[in-house]
Amino acid sequence: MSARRFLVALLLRAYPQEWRREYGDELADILTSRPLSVRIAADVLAGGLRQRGRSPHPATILGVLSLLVVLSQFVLAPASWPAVVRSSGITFPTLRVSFLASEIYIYVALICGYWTERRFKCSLPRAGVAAMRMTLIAGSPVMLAGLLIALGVLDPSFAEWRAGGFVPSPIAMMLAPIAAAPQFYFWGIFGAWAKRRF
Amino acid sequence: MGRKPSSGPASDPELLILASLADGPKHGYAIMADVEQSIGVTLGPGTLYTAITRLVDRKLVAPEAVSGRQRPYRLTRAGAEALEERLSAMKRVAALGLRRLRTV
Repeated sequence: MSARRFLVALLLRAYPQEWRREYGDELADILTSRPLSVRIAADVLAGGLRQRGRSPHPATILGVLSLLVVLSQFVLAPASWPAVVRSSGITFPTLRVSFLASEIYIYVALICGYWTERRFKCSLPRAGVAAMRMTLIAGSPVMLAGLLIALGVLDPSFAEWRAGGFVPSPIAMMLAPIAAAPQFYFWGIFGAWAKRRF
Repeated sequence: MGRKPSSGPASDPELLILASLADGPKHGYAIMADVEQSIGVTLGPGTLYTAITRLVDRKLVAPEAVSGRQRPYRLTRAGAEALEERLSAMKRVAALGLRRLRTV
């Protein structure tokens, strides 16, 4: 693949998959048949973002809603609220994001798989990947806080009451949502399977 | 080569595409070339396809059978009506403005 085709393929990644299926070949053909300037690349990127904004993926919608739940616990909630992260009691991961470890979040992952299959008539693994992506979006405030603590931007005590009184390791905070994601792959698949079955 | 103006009717990619398709089906590249040659406005490929997607969703434009890697688009009946309505409204506004300017 030439550098130009690689760049065009990269630009097209800015668009949602279902849009690419419909219009991707045409747009790629135009982009490879005329000079590719920075202005055109910016125009294509902006078009991709607009398309993503028009029809957000179920994983993005549910991920952002879950993110707001985690964020509200993290930023707004008083110290008396349940901890945002808690010790897992196992070697890896040492931390769990409470919302992602809750029963209700399993239902969210099931809905994500169900909705993804309903909308895209996709393969079961793709519904699983969508649920994983949703988990990473939802856990991003914890990962970001971990990163900021690791970089020394945020005081470690910021995370103390949010972890139920102990100071969590910033690396564990960054890893907790990533470590949680694989299990939701299966819940996403199960949700998509339920859509096909019922 | 003109760039897309930031205001005025020529800044509306959907209107430009509808006007370009008024004389028959064209594929994306041909629409860009036609708008550039006839109106002097360059539509970026991203802007073009964002507008085409919206027009197809609103059933003002319909895709035809694919020829090569490019697919022609045609104006639907609803698209032709919408274009005529908008151009007539613009014509009325232009006529009013010019008439009043002449009387100043």
